[in-house]
Amino acid sequence: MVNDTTRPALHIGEAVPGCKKIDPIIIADNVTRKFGGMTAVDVPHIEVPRNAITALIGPNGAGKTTLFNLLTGFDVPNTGEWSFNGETISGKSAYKVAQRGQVRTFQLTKSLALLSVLDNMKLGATNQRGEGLLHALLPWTWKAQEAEVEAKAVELLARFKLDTKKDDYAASLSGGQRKLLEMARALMSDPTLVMLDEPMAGVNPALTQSLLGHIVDLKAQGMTVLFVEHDMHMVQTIADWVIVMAEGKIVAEGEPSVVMQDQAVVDAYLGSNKDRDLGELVAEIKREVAAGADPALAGDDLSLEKE
Amino acid sequence: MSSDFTFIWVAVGALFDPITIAYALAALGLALHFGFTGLLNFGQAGFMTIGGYAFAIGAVKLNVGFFPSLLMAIAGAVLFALLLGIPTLRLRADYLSIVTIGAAEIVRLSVRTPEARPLTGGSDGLNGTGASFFALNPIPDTFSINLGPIHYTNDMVWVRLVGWITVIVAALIIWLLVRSPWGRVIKGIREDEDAVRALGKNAFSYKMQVLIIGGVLAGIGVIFAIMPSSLQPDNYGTQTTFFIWAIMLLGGAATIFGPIVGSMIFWATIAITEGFVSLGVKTGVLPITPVQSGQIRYMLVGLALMLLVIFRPQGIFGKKAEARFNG
Amino acid sequence: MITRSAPRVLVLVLMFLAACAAFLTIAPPAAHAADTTAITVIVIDESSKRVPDVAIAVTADGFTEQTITTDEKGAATISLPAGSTYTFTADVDSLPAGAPGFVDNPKIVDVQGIPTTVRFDVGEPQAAQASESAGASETASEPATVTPGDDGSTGATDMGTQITQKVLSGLVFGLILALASIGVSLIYGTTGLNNFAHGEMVTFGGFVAFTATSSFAVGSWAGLVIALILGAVLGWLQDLGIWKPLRRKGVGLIPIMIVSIGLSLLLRYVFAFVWSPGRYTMDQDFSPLISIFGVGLTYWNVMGSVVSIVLIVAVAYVLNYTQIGKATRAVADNKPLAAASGINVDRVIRVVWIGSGALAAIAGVLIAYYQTISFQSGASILLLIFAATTLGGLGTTYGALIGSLLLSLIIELSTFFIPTSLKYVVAMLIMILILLVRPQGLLGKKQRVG
Ligand SMILES: Nc1ncnc2c1ncn2[C@@H]1O[C@H](COP(=O)(O)OP(=O)(O)OP(=O)(O)O)[C@@H](O)[C@H]1O
Ligand SMILES: [Mg+2]
Repeated sequence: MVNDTTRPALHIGEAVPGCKKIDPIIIADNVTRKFGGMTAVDVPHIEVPRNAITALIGPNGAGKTTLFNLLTGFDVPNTGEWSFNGETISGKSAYKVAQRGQVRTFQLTKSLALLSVLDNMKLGATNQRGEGLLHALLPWTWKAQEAEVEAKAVELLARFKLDTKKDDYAASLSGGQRKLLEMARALMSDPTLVMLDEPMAGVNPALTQSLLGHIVDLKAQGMTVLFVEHDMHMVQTIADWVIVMAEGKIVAEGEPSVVMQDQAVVDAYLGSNKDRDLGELVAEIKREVAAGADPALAGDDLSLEKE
Repeated sequence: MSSDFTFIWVAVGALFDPITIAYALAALGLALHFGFTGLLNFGQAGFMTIGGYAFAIGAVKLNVGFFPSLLMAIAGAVLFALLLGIPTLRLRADYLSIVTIGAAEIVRLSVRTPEARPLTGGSDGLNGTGASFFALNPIPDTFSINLGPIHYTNDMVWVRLVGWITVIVAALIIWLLVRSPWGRVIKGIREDEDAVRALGKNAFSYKMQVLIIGGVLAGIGVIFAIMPSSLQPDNYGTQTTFFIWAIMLLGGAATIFGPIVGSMIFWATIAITEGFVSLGVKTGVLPITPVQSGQIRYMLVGLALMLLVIFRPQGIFGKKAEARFNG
Repeated sequence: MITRSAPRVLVLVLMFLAACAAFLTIAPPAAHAADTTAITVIVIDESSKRVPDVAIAVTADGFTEQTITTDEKGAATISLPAGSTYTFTADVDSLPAGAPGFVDNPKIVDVQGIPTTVRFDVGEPQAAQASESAGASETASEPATVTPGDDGSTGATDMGTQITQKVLSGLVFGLILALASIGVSLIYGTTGLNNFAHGEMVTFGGFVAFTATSSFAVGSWAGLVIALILGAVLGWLQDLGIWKPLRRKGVGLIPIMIVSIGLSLLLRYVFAFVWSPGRYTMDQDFSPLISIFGVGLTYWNVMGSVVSIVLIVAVAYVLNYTQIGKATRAVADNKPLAAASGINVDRVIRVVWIGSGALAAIAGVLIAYYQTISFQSGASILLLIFAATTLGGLGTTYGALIGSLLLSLIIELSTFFIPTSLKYVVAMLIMILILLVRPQGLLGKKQRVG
C-alpha cells in the first residue's frame, strides 16, 4: 500500500505546479504574503487532494510554514482566497478553521508544559459542554462527557505509546514524545484534514518508524494529511503526492518518484542552499530513487499499519 | 507596658479586616488572570477604582440602595473589562501589562480631577457609602465583640461577615471553574495560546471571560473596604496593583486559597511590623522618626516581591513543579 | 532550577542595598532631624510667574501668629513645630494691583515633620475646599519655570504667547523625558526587560544633585556631574547584583519584570525614608535667561535642554560610530546572532545599564530643576516614559527621542482643550492607541509573530 504503484491518479491533466486535482480538499488562489520587501509566499493556485498524503517540501525559508500559517488562519495574507471542503475559509480565525476539521501541528512543538499529558489530550476534544462558562459551574452537566473524552484520550495515548505518561506534566516529555503528543492531541478532534509541520524533526529513527505508521494510518481512517518534511526518505515512503516550494513559489508537483527526479527540485535545493549537507541529501535521494523503494522499510510500515 | 503590644491584637484583627477582604478578592481575581490564564493584568487597581466609584456613586449620589449599587459596581467592572479587553487581548502579552497599567491610571486621574468633583468628590473621594448596607444589618446594636482591646460593633461584625461569605463563595466559584474543562482551556491558554487556538478554542473569548470575572471580583471586593471607611482615589494607584501582585505571589499564583491566605498574612504582617517599628521608635530602640517608620511597609512589600519571585515563585501554597512562570 | 544560585543573588542584592543605604545615609538632608519642619510657601500668578512681596499669615492653635513675605523668587520659608495643623492665609491686598485674588485661600496644612511646599495660585477665588495635606500627593507639581517674559501683565496672555510657552515647555520637558526613555529603550532592546524601576534611577539622580548642592554646597554643575557618576554606578550595581544573576539563571522576562516592580517600590521608599516624603526645590535663578517670542526661559530651562541635546547626540554617536555602540545595536537586533559572532553580550548589557543609569540620573537632576524633586518624581513619569517609548517604538533609540518630544508636546498642547489635571490621561490614551493601531511604534520594525 505504501508506495503502491497502482494507486489511483490524484490529479487532472499534467502534473505541473498548481495543477487541478480530481477531488481537492483545499483550493487556494492567488495567495501572497510579504514581510517587508520579501515575498515569503506567492502561490497563484494550489489544490490539495482529499484522502491522500501530500508532502510539502522545499529548502529552508521556502515559505512552507508561512503557507501553513495562512491556510490555518494563524497569519493574514496580503492577497488570496481559499476554501476547505468547498467552504471559503480565508479570513476566518484560526480556531474557526480548526473547528471545521482542519487541524494542524507546529514546527516548534507546542505542548502545554504545565498541563498533564492527559489534559493536553482532553483539550483536543471538540464540543465539550464543560468548556462553557455556565456548564463549567455545574459539574454534573459535563462529567459524563468528560468520561467519554478521557476514554478516547487514553485510547489514543495507548496508540501513540504515551499511556504510561498520562499523568505527567507535558513538560517532562522528551522532544520526540512531545511531537507524538501534539499529533495525538490534534487527532482528538477527529479532523478531516491534518496538517503536520515537520512531524519528524528531532525524532529518533525508532520513533520515526512508528510515526510514519500513524500517518499512513490516518489516511486509512479516511483523513487527509498535508505535511511538511525535510526527510526525503520519509516523503518517498509515505507521500502520495509531493508539492515542492522554493522562495515562496510552487516549483514542482507530482508523485514522489517523479518529483524527486525533477530538475526543478534539485535546483530548488541546491540553488538557494549551497551547503554540502543538502547537496549530499539530494544526491542520496536520487540514488534511492534510482534504486527503487526499500522493500524492508515498506514491510515495516505495513506491519505498523496493521497494529 | 502591655498596652504597647496592642498591635498584636491589631494584627490578629487585620487577618479579617475589610481591607483584607478587598485585597483577597482582588488577588483571587488576579490569580485567575495571571496564575491560571497568564494574563499580565497590571490594572487591578483600576477595576477596584471603577467598582468602588460605581458603587459609591450609586449609594451616595443616586441613592439607589445597596443591591442596585452593587449591580452598578459589577456592571462597571464588566464594562471596564470589555473596554480594556476587546482591543488588547489580541495583542502580545506584555502589551496588555502596559495598557492595563495605563488604563488604571486614566481611571484614577479622571475620578480625582477637580472637574469631576460633583460626582466623584475629586481628590477627596466619597464618604458614607455604607449607609444602605449597614441599614440591612440584622445584628442588633447591643451585640458587640471584643478582641483584646479592639471593640467590634454590630456593623463592623456585619461587614466582615458578609465580606468573608463573599470571599468563600467567590473561592468556590473559581474552584469549580478551574477544575472544569473551561479551566483546562484557560490553563492551556496560559501555556500556549496558539496551541489552544489550533485546537478550535476561541482563546480571545476565554481571555475576555477571565478578564471580566477577575475584574468583577476586584470591583466587588473594594466595596467592603470603602463601606466602613471612605473611598479615596489615591488609595488605588499603581502601588495598590503591586500590593495585589505581592499578595497573589505570596500565596501562590495558580492557587485559590493562596491569594486569600496571602492577603491575611500580608496585612497581618504589615500590622505586626508597623507595631514593632513604632514600638521601637517610641522606646528609642530604632533611631528613626515616625514618618520614616511609615515607609517601612512599602520597602518590605518591594523586597518581598523581589525575593518571592526569585526564591519562591510558586508562593506558599503553590506546587513546586508549577513554579515556572510562562514568559 | 530557580533556587540553584539563589544565595549568591541574595547576597548580591543585599550588598547592593547596603551600598545604596550607605551612600544615602552619609548625605542626610539638612531639614531632617529637627522637631520643626521647614515649610516653603510659593506664590505663582496666572502666567506661572513667581510673585514677590506677598504677605502670608500663619496661624494655628497654641501658636503665635507669624507673617512671612515672599522674596524676589516668590518664595518664603518658615520653620514650624511639627504635629499641628496650620492655616496659611495670603493677604490679597499685598498682590500687585489688578490681580484677582487667590484661587484657594486660606490653605490648611497638616505639618508632620516633612518639608513641604505650600503653593498659592493667583486667580479667581474658588470655593474654599481643597486643603493641601503634607502627605505626598502623587501627581507631579506643575512646572513653574517657563514664564512669559513681558513683566507686569498678570492678565491673560495672548494666544500666540501661550502657544509658544506650551511648545517651549513641551520641548524642554520632552528632552528631559528623552534622556530617561532612551535608557528604557536600550534596556528593553538588549534584554527584553520593561524596567519598572527606571523611574527610581531618575529620582536617585535628582536627590543626589539636591543633596550635593544643598547639604554639601557643591556647585550646580558639579552636582550634575556627581549625579551622572553615581547614576552610572547605580546602573552598574543593579546589573551586577540583580539583573545579571537573574539572566544567568535563565529566569523569564515576566518574573524579571516583577522583580523590577519590587525594586521600584523598595527604592522609592528607601528614598522617602532617607529624604522624607516632601518636595524639594532646587536653588536656582528663576529670572529669564533668554526670551523666545516673548517667552522667557530660565537658566536651567536653557541649560537643561543643552545638556539633554549634548547627551542625546553623544548617545547617537556612540551607537553609530564606536565598537561598543555597534555591538549594542547588534545585540538589540539579534542576541543569539550577536553572541555567536563573538560579541560579549554581558558586557554590552552592562554598558547599557551603566549608560542608562547615567542618563536617567541626569534626567532626574533636570526634572528637579524643572519642577521639584520628591521620592515620587521618577515614579510619576515612569508611565510617561513607557508611553514615549511605545509611541516611538519600543527598543528603538531614535524612537524614544521622537516619542518623548512628541508626547511631551502633545500633553502640553492638550491643556488648551482639557483640564491640566487630565493631561497625563492624554499621554496614557496615546500610549494605548498606539499599541492598538501600530504596536511597533512610529519608528519600530514589525515584530516577527509566532
Ligand atoms: N513573521 C515574519 N516576519 C518576517 N519574515 C518572516 C516571518 N515569517 C517568515 N518570514 C520569512 O519568510 C520566509 C519563509 O519562512 P517560513 O518559516 O515559511 O519557511 P519554511 O519554508 O517553513 O522554512 P523551514 O524549512 O526552515 O521551516 C523566510 O525567509 C522567513 O525569514
Ligand atoms: Mg517551517
